[in-house]
Amino acid sequence: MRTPGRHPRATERDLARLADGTLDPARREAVERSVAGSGELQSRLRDQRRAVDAVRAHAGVGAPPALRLRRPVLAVPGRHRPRLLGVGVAGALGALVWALAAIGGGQAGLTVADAATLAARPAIAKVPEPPDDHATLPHLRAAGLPFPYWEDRFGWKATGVRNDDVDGRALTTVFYRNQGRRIAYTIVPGTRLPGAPGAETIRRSGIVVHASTDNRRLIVTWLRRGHTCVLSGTGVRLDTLLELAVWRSHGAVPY
Amino acid sequence: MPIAADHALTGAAGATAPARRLDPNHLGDHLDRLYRAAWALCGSREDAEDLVQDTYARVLQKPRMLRSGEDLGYLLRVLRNTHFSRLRAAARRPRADPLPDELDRVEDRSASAPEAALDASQLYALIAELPDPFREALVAVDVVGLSYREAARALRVREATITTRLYRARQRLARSLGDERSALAGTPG
Repeated sequence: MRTPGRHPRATERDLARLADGTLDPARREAVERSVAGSGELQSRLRDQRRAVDAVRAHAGVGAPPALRLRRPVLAVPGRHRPRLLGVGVAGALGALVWALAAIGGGQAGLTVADAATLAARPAIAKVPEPPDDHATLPHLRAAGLPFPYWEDRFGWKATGVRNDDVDGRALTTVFYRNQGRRIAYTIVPGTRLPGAPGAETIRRSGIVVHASTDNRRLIVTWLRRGHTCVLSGTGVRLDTLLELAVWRSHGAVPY
Repeated sequence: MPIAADHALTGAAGATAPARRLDPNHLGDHLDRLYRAAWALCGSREDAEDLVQDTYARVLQKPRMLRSGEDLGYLLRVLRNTHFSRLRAAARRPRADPLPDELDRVEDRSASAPEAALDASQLYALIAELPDPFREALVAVDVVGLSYREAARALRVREATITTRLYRARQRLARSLGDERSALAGTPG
């Protein structure tokens, strides 16, 4: 398409390429002459260069380290796939496809796997320290429920929190860390989530807990006052998650 | 409108080179550029991270056969298609909510200087507002750094079309940058 005006030889395509330096040298001289003779073309070229410069100024923006860690490796053929819960992951590819299907749509409603994906996201706020002898974290509630304070008793330190809106529900996730391992505790308000496919049901301290795996992540879910709690982590033992899930601190953590 | 499929072999322009399997171990080589592309498509850092993650997951679902030098263009096409898929599922996409006032923001040590990060956010938000065809051309050429030919192949349009769309995308972006600057200049200090 030709640029209207007195210098029909300089086209939009010429100006685009002149601005980023890819214009054929044989054509460049003629285009530059056209531009030199036209204020309008000069203005247009300035706009092109301004946009190019703005984008190039940010060419050093790199992916955050968290994203590098999140890149999926499960689907690489031949990789060792751990078996958990005696059920095992039904094949890396299958797990990945299942997880994608759960996240990406096709079925209605939020799932346990959806909620567990939040565990791979970064925290966006710090968690305040509780006063001595408190069993719950201050200022942090979801569906009216406080999150437990586990550091003194179990060594799991609350390191951060994030809030997300998933499928119209406000999910709050607290991240805990202990000896380099990280787990995520999400409270899903509202109607209980359907159990994950293949989940095992375990009763511990009078509480029914469902355990499943997804993408090497071990997930346990249970109810607190009708709201679904999702606790998950990689490289942690099922017993550890179960112990944390059912800890009520003699009623100080409401269930 | 998304391209129908991100199938393995790319267009005829690369037909002379032998097809080879995309090496999953080298996908990380393109991570930074894909991240910037995703940011420019989504206009949000958080969504960009998710989009790149989903793109890699999609690519890794099965072996991909590509011609030499087409990795980045192919990844961009999958990124773009994944972006549209995610838009269709937008209602179910996790969205960060505001946190209570009493909670402090966590320092993001991965971020560069706050001012530079802010500028990048503004820039990519402006790019994200461009009409789809213009935005995709600008992302392919200026953000990802594909040649015009590679961009045309990746987006399945003629090279001349890419060039024209790129021109118009930059024109609009320059105008938006001017508006942004004027708005900032007019902000009481």
